[in-house]
Amino acid sequence: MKTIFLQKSNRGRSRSLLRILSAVLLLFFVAILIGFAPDSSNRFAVATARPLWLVRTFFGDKLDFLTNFTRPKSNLIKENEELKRELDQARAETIFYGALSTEYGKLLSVLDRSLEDEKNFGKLGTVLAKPPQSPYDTLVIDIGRAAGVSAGDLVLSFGNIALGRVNSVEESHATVLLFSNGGAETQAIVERSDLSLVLTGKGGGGFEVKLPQDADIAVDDLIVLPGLLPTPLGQVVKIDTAAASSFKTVSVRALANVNNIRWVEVKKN
Amino acid sequence: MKIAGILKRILIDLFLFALLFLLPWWLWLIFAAVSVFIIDRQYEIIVLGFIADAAYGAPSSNFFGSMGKSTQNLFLADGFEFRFIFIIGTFVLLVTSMILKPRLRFYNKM
Repeated sequence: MKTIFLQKSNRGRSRSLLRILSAVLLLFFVAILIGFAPDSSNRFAVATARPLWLVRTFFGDKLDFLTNFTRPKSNLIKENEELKRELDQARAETIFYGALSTEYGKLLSVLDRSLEDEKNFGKLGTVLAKPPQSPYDTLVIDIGRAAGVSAGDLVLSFGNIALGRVNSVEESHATVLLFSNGGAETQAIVERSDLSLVLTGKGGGGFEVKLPQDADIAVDDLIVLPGLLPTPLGQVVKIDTAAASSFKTVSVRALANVNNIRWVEVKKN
Repeated sequence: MKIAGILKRILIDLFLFALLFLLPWWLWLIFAAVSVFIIDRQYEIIVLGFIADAAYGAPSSNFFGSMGKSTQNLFLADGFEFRFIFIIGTFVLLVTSMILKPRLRFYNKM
């Protein structure tokens, strides 16, 4: 009896195809799992990652050498100088803010509302994971349903700077979607001119908005979230004005650098 | 020899798993790219990608989540969000290694 075997090259090729097919099947399986059971997948993944995140949080900046070795020395010097300048500016603004806050408190008391009520202090949470650990513009924080956190709650840092909103909550953790998340739209106001605008997230703490050429907006203008006590969100860093266009493109940078955040405040919606 | 191979595989997987939550994502992908060439048919890298996407991505009640909506009511919105970055990334690395390995002269075929 004559038996026909596959030639060696054909056998290799079909084995190769079989391996790729296995990878494709695995890809579909995990994609379906994450797609149909996102909450369970998230619970499982965070439970698995939590010990490592806690180690990272415990060691804090000591692990930053893993990424800092790729940064040139000149950049660090430049960054240091910029930070010193910003610190001086922040000191001056704090004094000014103190004076304004007292005045604002007096005004609210006239309206029979206290400043403490208005601030509505929230829950303090530790950031377990943040960019650039993930390509997503999300934070994972260590407080969840048990601490009274619910979806839609506002997340702040450094006292009063808006970061994002709680997207999903589990018993002991929550995922925060940053306002700068790619494609996300956020209603905001230019503090100086009270101009209303809709910011579009660009990822990595960046926003963009297209405005008519005659819109009253300038570089360094503060962008805030609407409300009785305006919450700072970002600052205008660049305005692109094309002569032929009737619109200008405004680039806004988030005030808080999410890479340096360790704690956040979650405020009830 | 076989046990040594399995042990090497487990150690590399555990190392990659730890790095997944400690390093920036792009640095982790570089380590993952190296590991798929060290280990033969490292399917488990897709599982690591799944864990990363599940942990970092923003879950939603919809299949693809939500995007292009106001973040102020994102949890209610229905739209589209691509939350398979790590899964796709690791899949591409794995398949690229499967295609390239037999064509590399210096690679020791397992």
